[in-house]
Amino acid sequence: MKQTLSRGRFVAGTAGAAALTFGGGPYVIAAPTKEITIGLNVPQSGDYSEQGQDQLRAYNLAIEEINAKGGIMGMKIKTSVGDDQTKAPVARDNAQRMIERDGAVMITGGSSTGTALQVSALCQQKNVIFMAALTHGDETTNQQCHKHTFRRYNDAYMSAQSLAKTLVTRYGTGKWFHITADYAWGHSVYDNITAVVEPKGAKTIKNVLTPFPGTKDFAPMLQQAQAAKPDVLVLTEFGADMVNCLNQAAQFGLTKSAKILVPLVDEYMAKGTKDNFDNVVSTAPWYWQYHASKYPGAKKFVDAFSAKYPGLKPSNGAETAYADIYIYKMAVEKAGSIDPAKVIAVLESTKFQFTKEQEWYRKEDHQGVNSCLVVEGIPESQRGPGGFGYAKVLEVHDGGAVVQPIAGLQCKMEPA
Amino acid sequence: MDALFQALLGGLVLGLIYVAIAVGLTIIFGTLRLVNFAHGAFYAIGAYVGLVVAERIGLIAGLIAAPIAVAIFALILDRVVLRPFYEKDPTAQLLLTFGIALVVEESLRLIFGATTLQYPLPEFLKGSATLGPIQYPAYRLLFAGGVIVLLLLVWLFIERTNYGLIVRAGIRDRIMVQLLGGNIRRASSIVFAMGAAIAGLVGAAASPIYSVDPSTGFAFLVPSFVVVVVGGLGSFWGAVLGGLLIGELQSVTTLVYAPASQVIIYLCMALVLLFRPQGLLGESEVIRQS
Amino acid sequence: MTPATATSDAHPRPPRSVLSADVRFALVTALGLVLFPLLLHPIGGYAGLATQILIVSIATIGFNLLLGYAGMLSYGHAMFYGGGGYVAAILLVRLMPAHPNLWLAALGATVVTALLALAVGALTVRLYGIYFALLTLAFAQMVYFLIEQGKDWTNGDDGIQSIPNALVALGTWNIDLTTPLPAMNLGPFGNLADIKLWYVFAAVMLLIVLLFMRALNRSQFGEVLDAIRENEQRSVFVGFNASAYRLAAFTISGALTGFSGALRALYDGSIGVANAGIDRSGSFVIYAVVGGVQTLFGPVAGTAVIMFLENVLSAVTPAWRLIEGLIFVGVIVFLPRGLSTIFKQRQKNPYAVFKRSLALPTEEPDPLLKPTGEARPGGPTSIIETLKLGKSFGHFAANRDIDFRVDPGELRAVIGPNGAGKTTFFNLIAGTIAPTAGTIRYKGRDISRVSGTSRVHQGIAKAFQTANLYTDQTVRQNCRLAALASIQGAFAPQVFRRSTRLADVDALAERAMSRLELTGVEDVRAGDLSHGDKKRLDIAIALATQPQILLLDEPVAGMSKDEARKTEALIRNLSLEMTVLVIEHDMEMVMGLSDSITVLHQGTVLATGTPAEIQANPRVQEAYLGGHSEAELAH
Repeated sequence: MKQTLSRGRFVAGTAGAAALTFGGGPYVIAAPTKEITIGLNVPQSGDYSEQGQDQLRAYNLAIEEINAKGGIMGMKIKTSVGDDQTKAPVARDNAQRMIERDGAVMITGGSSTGTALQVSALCQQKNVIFMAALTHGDETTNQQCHKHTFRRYNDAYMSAQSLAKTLVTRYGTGKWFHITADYAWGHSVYDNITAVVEPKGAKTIKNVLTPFPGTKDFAPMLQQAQAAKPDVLVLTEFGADMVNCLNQAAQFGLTKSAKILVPLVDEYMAKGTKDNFDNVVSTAPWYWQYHASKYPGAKKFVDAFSAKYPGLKPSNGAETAYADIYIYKMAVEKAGSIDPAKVIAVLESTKFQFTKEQEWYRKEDHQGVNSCLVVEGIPESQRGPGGFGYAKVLEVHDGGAVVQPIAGLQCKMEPA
Repeated sequence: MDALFQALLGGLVLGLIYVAIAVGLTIIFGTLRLVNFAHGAFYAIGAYVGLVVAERIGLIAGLIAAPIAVAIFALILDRVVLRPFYEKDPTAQLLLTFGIALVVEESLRLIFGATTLQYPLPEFLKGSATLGPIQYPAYRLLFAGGVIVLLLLVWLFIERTNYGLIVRAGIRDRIMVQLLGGNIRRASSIVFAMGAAIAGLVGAAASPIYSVDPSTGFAFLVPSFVVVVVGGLGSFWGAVLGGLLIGELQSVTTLVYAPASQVIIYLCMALVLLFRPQGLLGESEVIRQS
Repeated sequence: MTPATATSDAHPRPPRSVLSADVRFALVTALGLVLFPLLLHPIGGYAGLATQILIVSIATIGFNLLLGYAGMLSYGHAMFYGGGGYVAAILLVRLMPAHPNLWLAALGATVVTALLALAVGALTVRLYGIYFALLTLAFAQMVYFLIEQGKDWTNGDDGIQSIPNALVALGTWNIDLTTPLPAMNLGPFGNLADIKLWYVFAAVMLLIVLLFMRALNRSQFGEVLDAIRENEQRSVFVGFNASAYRLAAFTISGALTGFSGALRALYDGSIGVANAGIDRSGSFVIYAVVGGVQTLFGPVAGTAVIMFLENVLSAVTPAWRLIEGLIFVGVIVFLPRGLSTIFKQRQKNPYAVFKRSLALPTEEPDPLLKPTGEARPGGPTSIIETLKLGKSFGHFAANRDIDFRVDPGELRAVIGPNGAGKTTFFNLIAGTIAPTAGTIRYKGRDISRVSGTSRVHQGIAKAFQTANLYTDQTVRQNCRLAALASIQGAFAPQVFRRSTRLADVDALAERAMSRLELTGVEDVRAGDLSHGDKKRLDIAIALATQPQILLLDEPVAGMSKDEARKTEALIRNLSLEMTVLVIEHDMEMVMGLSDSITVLHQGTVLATGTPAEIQANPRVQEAYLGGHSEAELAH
């Protein structure tokens, strides 16, 4: 009877699973059918659209691969795509459509913490798994964690720890100047970095907050940095804002006079800043050159990506998108069901390996524990075709060594 | 003290960019009584055309191509869409030009992608100049100087040419302009195209400073409107004063409490509108007509 | 007339069915709301989207009260939408986490946003066009800044997630709106269980709001708002306090938008700062304009179409925003009909211009018109008096040192060469402009600083040099508006009562029309009248304000000689019951009509006296001959 309810709704698992989960969510469980729907909620317009578009490429690649091999437990993956414009309300509306209209069993995507938080809250309410993709702010798996939300991407805490560990020997006692995007992610990065480097003797001269969104001219902030003559200049901006800010910093000669830190980078930001990214230190959860040379899974992904999208290499956002699909597949197959409770139980307790080293999610906060790279930019002339290959890896930090200790978490996870 | 001096210098350069965009906006309003919300779109088109041409031919070619392309676009827009709206309620103009801005922004996004683009400066322009205690990027100073020259040219155009006469008359006496009749139509098209071309030129010239993305136009439009309103809609010197004031205000606010550096310009505009709605240098008669 | 519906004419037809028009309207709308989510289903929508559309429609309706009805384009309505959402969220999270009550949260938010709108409106409603739009934007940006910075309350840009699920207290029940309707398969229209009680609730709220707006549009308040949008200057000088009406509209608009924002936050269970951002403000503009601002259902339709596109099309093509933009521009360029009134577009003349000959004026005095007041001609009290009155524009003194005195019942002509300052002088007396020197006394009281609108209510009325009419309304409606202001006062926000119920207003308007010989053209659109009828209608409007002094600025200018003589007779007739001041160049009329004459020259009084005295005054002759032909005086 329930099966006739709607078009896109998936159905899977056993009769037992049906009994357990009926009434809990918008899905219906009965005899196995052919399809499940996954919601891909990524920015295709707005400041973070490059990141979003690259994620979408990777999602489509992973889904194509999986469907070619028979899908997840025999169910073909259908997608429901939405442009979240990096606006939280839009992201939320998209996710609602994916769940209510298309019967999505899992939502993934996003290029900002702001959108991740709203989608996370909605998915919790709707009893749908949310595999948050590119969200770097701590809140996603800390203050605003949810039972249904998993984030594999490094958080700001991990980046800050990694950066600090690599740099503190060289710049630990120097003068640090911060230019920080005035929103949750920026504050979280700033707090984390200062908390690590100040006890080692680093002196924070000033933190200038830039209005977000909408700052185009960073000159007033950069002038202050110039006057302060810092040893280290931290530019906590992301996407197009980071490109603008770093390029303008170069105009003020700051890329020459100070060591520039950018807490998080990917291929597209590095491309936008061209030679100005030379020598800039940053972190990335993943870097195609490095990982493809070390892990067969990564190499397979990079090759497949470049084959499907000639001339392109996957950014780290694309990688996490790709992995998210495979992780979900793994979890469903291990659980033998798409029942969220069972999938969550598997995700909380399973170690897996796809495009990196062996990794896992912590059950306390659903933060992915995996390595964080500290990278340093190289000049454009040394980069590969299409400007891909932007950095050399300075150091790789083990995820377990840089992740926030459980004792310090403010995460209050809902009961299972 | 140095910090303040620096902030003031930075504010001057920022202010000059606002002035350059606002001047086009204000002469278009003064002459055609058109509230042009699509003015930011001219800036964005100029930036993209400048970038594309500059990357293929060179910076100078980009600076020449951008205003020409934008002027042509503006003339087509004027002929095809805007003309019937010149004599209508300003609210209709606002809505229409708002819609045009929307269409242009999305077209740019489809053509060039959402990617942030930036034209890299040639090596010889990358240096910085020493001004007293501070180092300032040479290109920004060059840009500021260029804007001042541009403003001078616009001012000479307004004061010394026949078309300029129409601009001046339009600002002061709308009815007289209407009495001039037939040739006013061509003149107003030219003024419109010129105002647009200025925005296009500024867009191209600023693209080595600020990278370009499809929403760039709107990002500069709103502050420019604030500038025009603060200075006095339709007033050339009002745009100059307003632009410098807003630029300085933003720059100095950044020094004091940076998160407020956006909202401060709205606060400033609100105060001006409440206490001197015609703007600092505006003529009170203008506000009743608009 | 009222924009909402074609049926809202001054004389409603008798109902054809047993149900009243309001009940039929409610039933048809309710039926539409029942079908809406079902019909949305086969074309790619879903019940959740339907719910969102209905909730946001309430905000668009609120926004449109300003744009469509008051003619004010706000670019800051996100401050009410986002503000309402935040207030509701904070009320629930802080004050009633244990017993979340939807009514308290939503009504609290509505009250707070209404107060915000009242405060912002008080500062903004005196501005127009781009100035109004930018000032509302400025306030919205400030509210946005406060929300973003007020981290302890609003949680900064993380927004407030997990707002408690508020229940609807109805008597002893507490209804959980997330409950789905009973399951029932409707084939291609989905399943009833897809629809939650939230939809039903939103539909009921929208229906109430629509009924409210329908009543408001047809009410006296809606009628006056319409009049102010069409011709604010005339409205002020028939005695409406335009700013108060705009402020009332702004407050209602803000409250509706805030209510909608609150419902949306409660429905979503979360709110983010983007709900108060500039893009949100822009979206209301798009919704309303696409839907059609002059219609009751326009805002709902526009919201539905655009939200549908955003939600469904965005999944299909990245060009969806371009499509949205093209639709928006297309509507403005190609479908201006829906927008015709706010843009004051002149419609093609649907009527032939009436040319009539005038009957002889009636001679009986009019019982409806107020007597001139306590004083009689020759009594000690002047009705209007100015002392050293002056008005300078910059360095140019348009009027200076004018000492002027008129006795009750007098018919005084004010003459002078062009540029003598006659119209400026009238504007000073009527209160169109404020003097820069001197005082004006009316019945002994200083009224120099009294607003034009108040002066109308005290009995000073003005007919304009160029007929100043509600050109899109009929002659009768023009006069009724003036009568309404006179009887109901400068500000009577009757949002439910229709003015058609007011018999005294009708009677007063009828008398004014008949006094000016406008019988036979009562139902002609004012813009289609002949020149002479327009001028007489302007006087009739002034007359319907029940004046004690009537200021007529060149009442016969441009009329044929025949028409001018007849109008002169009408004016003479009026002067039997009130004081009349008249500016006129027609010297034949001036000499024949007036009791006395004041000559202005170069902004000040040159001479005052009887027609004979003035004709004999050498200085007057010199002044006229200085600038004008002899013929003008000798005429």
